[in-house]
Amino acid sequence: MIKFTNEDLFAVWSNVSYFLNQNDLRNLALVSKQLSNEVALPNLWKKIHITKNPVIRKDQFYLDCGTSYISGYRAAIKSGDQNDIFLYDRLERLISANKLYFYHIKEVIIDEGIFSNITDGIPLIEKLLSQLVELPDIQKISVHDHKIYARYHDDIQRIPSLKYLEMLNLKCLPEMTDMKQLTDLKITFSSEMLKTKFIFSDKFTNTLTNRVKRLNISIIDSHISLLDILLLLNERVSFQNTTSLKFDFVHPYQDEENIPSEQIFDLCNQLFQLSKIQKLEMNFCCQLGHCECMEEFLELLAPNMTSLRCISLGESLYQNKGDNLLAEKFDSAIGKFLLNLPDYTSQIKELCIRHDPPLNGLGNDTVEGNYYRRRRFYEEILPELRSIEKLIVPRMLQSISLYEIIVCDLLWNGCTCSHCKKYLQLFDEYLMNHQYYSQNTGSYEDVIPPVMFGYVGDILSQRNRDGLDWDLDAFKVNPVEVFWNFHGYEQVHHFSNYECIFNENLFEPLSVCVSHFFNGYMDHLVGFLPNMKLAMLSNFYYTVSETPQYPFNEKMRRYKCIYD
Amino acid sequence: MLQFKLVLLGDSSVGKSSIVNRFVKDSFDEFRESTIGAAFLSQTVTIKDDDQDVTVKFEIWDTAGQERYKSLAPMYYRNSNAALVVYDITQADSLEKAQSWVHELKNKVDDNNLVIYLVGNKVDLTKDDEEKRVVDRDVAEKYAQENGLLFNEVSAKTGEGIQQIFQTIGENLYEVRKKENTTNNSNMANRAHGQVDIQLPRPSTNDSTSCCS
Repeated sequence: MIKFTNEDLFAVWSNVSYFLNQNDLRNLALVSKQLSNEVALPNLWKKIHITKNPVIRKDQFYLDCGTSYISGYRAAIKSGDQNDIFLYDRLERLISANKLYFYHIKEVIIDEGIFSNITDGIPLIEKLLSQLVELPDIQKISVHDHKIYARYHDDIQRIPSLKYLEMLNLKCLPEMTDMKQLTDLKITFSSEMLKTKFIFSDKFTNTLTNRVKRLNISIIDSHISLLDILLLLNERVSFQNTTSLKFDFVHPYQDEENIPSEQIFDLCNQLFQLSKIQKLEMNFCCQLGHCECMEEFLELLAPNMTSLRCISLGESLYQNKGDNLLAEKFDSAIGKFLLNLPDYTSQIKELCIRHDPPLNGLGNDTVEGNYYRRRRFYEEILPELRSIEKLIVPRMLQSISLYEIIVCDLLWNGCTCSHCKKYLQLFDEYLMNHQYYSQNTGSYEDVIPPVMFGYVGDILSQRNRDGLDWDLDAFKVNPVEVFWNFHGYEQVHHFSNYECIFNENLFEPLSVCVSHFFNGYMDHLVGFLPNMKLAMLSNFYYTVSETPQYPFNEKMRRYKCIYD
Repeated sequence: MLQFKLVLLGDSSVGKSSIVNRFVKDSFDEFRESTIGAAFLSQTVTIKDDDQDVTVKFEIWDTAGQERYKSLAPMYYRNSNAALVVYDITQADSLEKAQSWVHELKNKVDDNNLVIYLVGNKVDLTKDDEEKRVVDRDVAEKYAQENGLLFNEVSAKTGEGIQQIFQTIGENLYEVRKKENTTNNSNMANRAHGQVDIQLPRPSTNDSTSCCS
């Protein structure tokens, strides 16, 4: 029999504890004082994420590990004030534990809009933040509500132990240290920020140049061009050790001429060592049909990305959402980029593709032939990227919703398992009895499958929309419970003589039906991508094994879904 | 259907959850645990208006009475249409606590139409042994009259008087809403899901009685 020393035992527990969620850690804390003090409590308090809705708990997916979530009321049907009561109480408990446990805290993330009633909620968040900024060892304070964050911006900048910092201006406080720990930086650009000048100390500039490994350049005003930002940054700083980079490639809508892609590329080349970038997220925003800025930029960029392992390519549209031509143009540009990478068959481990389809699934030229054309395009591209281990397509359902015949198949010719047989017919009844207000026609129109599944896709995407800064971090954040009551959105109403049975309780069964429909896509994907281990399609998370081992409908599959 | 928010307030262990449980599920649990934070339930009552049945739905907020939840109180009673302030007739302190709740409601809730019902619970304990009663009915009733409250003594254990409380509150709220509607000429239809109330007529082609249905 092997004898373990106490040290061995605690080394094992420290590693194992990564796979324990906060409930498990709490139970572990009750086992012994030593386990509680050395393993459970430090892990329970290390990273705290405050969300409006409770996280979805699923066994064996480990999405909820490594973070303690503080959230509102766990119920499908609830009002904003009911949720507030639980969140308020839990935050008060958290704050009251300040002296006992706050020294364990390393990271705190606070989502936006967590309270319905901001009059009561915001003072409590501020009370918490006032205590957090006093902690000498805290490494990250991320507040997704910009107004609240702005009030603590300066206080947070003064914390010397920070590893993550979000900057809302390009000023360095006089009392700010050189932030020797800083490795992760987010700069949020607004129009006001472009009018200001850099006030960085030499020490801080040195930190940015040599220490920042992860950089997120975020643009919140759509009329700011990436070119202007790069020009501004190039005046004063460079990020020579950055290995993870995220930026928005914005071609402002007021600028009808082509923007100089070559100049943007040159500036990027000066600001970063492109050959060092391992993780890249780019969000493209250009909706001029004739403009080739994205294609040109990607063509220049691709051959330089020798170290690239993780790539996320997204589009953001303000108009023309659902235009098949634009969607195909985006597909084509990213396809060329991926196949122009130096070693595309073996270098890419993580791929995320984010489209920007319309909310209600109604687009232009979204006929069956165009769906198959786009599908065939990906069927040709993806098998070339054989090394992919993680695939993320956050808006897959909304993209599919554009093609009426496909979502009609989901509803009427889809899965025939007992669950789908029971529930899909109900949603047929839903369509027969509900209408939405169409802004195009200025009248109420029948809800059709693209509209319904467009809304469903939007709700599913809300499950991690607030918690995620990087799409490629999808597997690091646990999705939260968000349900649709089958009304609202574009004034969806039932007929006055219909006794409506549709509410939040029916959303989860519908999600399961959609996940079964997605099995068809997963069957293909696991074939194309032999190394795939994880996938996320419209917030349906999949674990993929090398051999068929997960039973489903009396067959064995290589993958299992969070909703199986 | 009319929907109203009803909140239960009162000291810890006076039987708020038991009253709700009796009303909603018609059951009683001798070993009920303390409520944590709040519990939300709903139940309907039917009232008569000129031989017409009107359904009134209560969204019931059963709150935690322990002192540590005191800071949540304003969130409990905000936007409520009715409040059930409960005391235990065998605990003298609990009436004082109930009176402080009434005082807080009257000062903090900016709604003249808020219906407050003062309820003395656990009358079953005094049936066999009147000495267990420490709060005199007359004292509580007089206080209720002076403050414009509805009043009754009940037993969640036996069910005595429970249904009547909610029936009376429903009738009162219906009358208040009727008066408001007369003055405001507003629509009384259900506003569930937080939507603007729109009566969407079914197009004739979708008529279930048509031959094409």
